[in-house]
Amino acid sequence: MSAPVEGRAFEPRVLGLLCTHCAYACADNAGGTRASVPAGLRTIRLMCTGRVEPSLVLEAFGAGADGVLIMGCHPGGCHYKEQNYRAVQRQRILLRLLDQCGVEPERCRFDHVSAAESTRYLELVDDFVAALRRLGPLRLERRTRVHRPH
Amino acid sequence: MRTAVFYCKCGEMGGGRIDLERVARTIAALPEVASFHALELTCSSAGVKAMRQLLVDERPERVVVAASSPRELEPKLRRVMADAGLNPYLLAMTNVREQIAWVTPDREAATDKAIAYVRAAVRRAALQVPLLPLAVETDPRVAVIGGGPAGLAAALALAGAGRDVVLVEQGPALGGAAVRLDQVHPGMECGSCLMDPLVTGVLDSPRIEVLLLARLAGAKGYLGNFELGIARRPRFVVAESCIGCGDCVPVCPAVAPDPRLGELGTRRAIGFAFPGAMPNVPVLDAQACLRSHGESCTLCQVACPVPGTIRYDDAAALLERKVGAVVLAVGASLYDVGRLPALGWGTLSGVHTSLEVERMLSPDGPTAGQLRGRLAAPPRRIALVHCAGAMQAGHCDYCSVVCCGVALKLGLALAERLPEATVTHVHRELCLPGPEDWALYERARAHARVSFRRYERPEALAVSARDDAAAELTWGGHATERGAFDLVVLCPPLAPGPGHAELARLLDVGRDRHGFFAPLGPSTGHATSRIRGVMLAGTCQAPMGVAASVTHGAAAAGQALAMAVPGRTIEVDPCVASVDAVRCSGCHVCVGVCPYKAIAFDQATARASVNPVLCTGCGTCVAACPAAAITGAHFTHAQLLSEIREVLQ
Ligand SMILES: Cc1cc2nc3c(=O)[nH]c(=O)nc-3n(C[C@H](O)[C@H](O)[C@H](O)COP(=O)(O)OP(=O)(O)OC[C@H]3O[C@@H](n4cnc5c(N)ncnc54)[C@H](O)[C@@H]3O)c2cc1C
Ligand code: SF4
Ligand code: SF4
Repeated sequence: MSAPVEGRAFEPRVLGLLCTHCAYACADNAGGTRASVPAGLRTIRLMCTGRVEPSLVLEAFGAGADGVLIMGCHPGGCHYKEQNYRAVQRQRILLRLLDQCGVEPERCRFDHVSAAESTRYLELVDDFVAALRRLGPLRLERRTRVHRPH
Repeated sequence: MRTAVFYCKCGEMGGGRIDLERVARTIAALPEVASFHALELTCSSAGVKAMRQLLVDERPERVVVAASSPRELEPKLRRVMADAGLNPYLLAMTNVREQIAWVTPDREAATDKAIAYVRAAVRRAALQVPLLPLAVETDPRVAVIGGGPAGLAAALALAGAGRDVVLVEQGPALGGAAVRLDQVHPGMECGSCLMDPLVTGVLDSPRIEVLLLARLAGAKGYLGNFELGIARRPRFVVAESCIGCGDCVPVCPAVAPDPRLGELGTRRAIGFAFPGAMPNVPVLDAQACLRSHGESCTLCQVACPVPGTIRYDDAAALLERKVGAVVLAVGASLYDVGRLPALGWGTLSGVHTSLEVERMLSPDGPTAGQLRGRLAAPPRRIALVHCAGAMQAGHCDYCSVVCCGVALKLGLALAERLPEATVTHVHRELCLPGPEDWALYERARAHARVSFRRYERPEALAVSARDDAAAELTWGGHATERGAFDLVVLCPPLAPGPGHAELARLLDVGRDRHGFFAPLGPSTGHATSRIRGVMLAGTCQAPMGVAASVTHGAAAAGQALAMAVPGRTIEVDPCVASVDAVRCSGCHVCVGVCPYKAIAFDQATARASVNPVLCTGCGTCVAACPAAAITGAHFTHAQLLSEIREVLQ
């Protein structure tokens, strides 16, 4: 579905992995403002970004995502102490892994938003989508080869 | 799998653009879906009632609700599930309002997206399993650590609510820092008068066990079930039989200078912590006692009129207490001005701290209310240096709120006590946080012999020796100024006490960047730590005055009462992690990543296991386990992968 249709602008398909207390709450608040969010953004609610493991991100790319946006609380604002730091560390390792799988590391971003930053959330999403537009659709002839855990 | 789907029209009301017909058609055609209901307003009481009835009638195996944000609605709908006799964790929610209907201008795109989300929820629900909340018995007893205003207030409130309390105080007497103050601003009561009702109330309460000379030595467990180890030092005087006559004190030949901050003069090996200390029982300092130095002195025992009260064989003990909650109320210390050598404390005879002056002014203090200390004669020129060590990188990088009030209070007391003296406040910022602080400042400004000089750079502050006066104080305002003074009073900020780090380690409570115990949130939850079951009270959490400390203590007690309720079992959310012992390779990784110390490692079997009461379900260990041995209930790998695949359609 994410393949560009002839003549139509490329609409990237983006998976948003959002922690419930800050990022998801922020997305809710953005909804409250009736702002416009790209239809290609598909969000999933997690308790904490600490839950994000590489296989979730790889699965997303395997399933048609052009980009993955992980959003958690601000440093120090994590509702589970410092787990968002771990998530950041893990994402850095993940970026190297993506490179090896033939996915540009720019396709996976980690950002911090608080529940009150809906404007910033919208900017971050738009900015990421714009970057993905420039990158174009993820061409993964290797897509089938992306590790798919049990 | 018979799944009932409830689709709430709330998204359409706020100007949403989803084609309900197409969603209904597509979703109803899914093999898992047995029924599709479009509800007017799921969150309204009518909506809830309708949904409950449909659940009772249809008895579906799984339930999907597409509505507004699950953050608000899911807990409510889980109760509806339980009400209808279904397991609450067989519900999957998806948010088609805030995340789709309200933010997607294109109707086609919005409808496609809504279909993907609802289908993802249907598929996810199929993978969900019934979960049962865990129930843990709560121990209603509460430990209060620290016997200052905050701890005493907490203990009294808890006992008043019928709770058994164990109060652990490291010193030989109750009352904390406040009990030894000459006057307590704003009421200007004497410290021990002010504290008396709290101290005697605690000592008289049959529900409060007071452990003095005692410190926390170990802690394990969690909300509802803490096991504390408490190390008690020997007092050598049996409190139960001591009549407080003090006959043992004057006979003691072991006289030495008093090393305690704020206590000037000498002390004997046996004596009261300070005059008027409660409980009114002396304490013997084994290190100072001649018996520890090879002599066989028994003078105090002989002088004591109650045989068997002074016992040289009293020994240290390790006690164990089980409680359901802990209140930390260990207070703060005055910042050690010895770390600011330029200010001359300890080297120049004319330099004292606010606490020392407070003690000198106290009629019951070590100088019986006389301004003596290290001074040669009653001082005539007095300077009070505000913020000694405050708002200064490398020392205390904050304003401690109470010390300007303390300085103003002491300045007025000194001016009134010494009719010849002039008082100069050498201040930096003036912190006057409440109406009473402002009134105090007005009074000080109106006083003929009190004046104010401002300094800007703390680095330029210096006290040096001088021939014609005890000290010369230099400070930098617009220009460098200096003055000769007989007494320089340093007013340092409150700073975390020396025992804070150890307590933080024992109870796993966090500390802020200054070393105070970190509250649950920066603006709410100041009476609770981030560890469930551990409350915070008073100046160990942040600098504050007596009134606020007492209030804070009562707040912490309220939190403890709400958390550890007698007879109540604590329902623990079942969305927690669990380790599959067969897959676990014993690598230890999870133990290190869990922020809640919820994972224990059994050395014998070399396997990790999660304590579900401590686990908050953050999922970090699930993601970290290299052997994929940990499952996060309700956020399993399979559930998340299926959700990811489906929403991306
Ligand atoms: C010189 C000076 C003047 C002041 N003047 C005023 C004033 O005029 N007005 C005003 O409102 N406030 C004043 N204050 C502040 C006031 O003293 C505090 O607000 C108040 O005492 C704080 O109460 P607390 O219970 O939090 O701590 P504290 O009073 O410090 O009590 C803490 C208790 O915990 C005990 N403890 C510490 N560590 C442990 C441990 N590990 N285990 C067991 N027990 C432990 C301590 O021995 C102490 O008894 C003044 C403070 C000072 C230093
Ligand atoms: S036994 Fe120790 S405390 Fe008692 S009088 Fe002798 S020296 Fe003092
Ligand atoms: S899910 Fe989080 S809180 Fe629970 S055991 Fe794992 S790391 Fe600890």
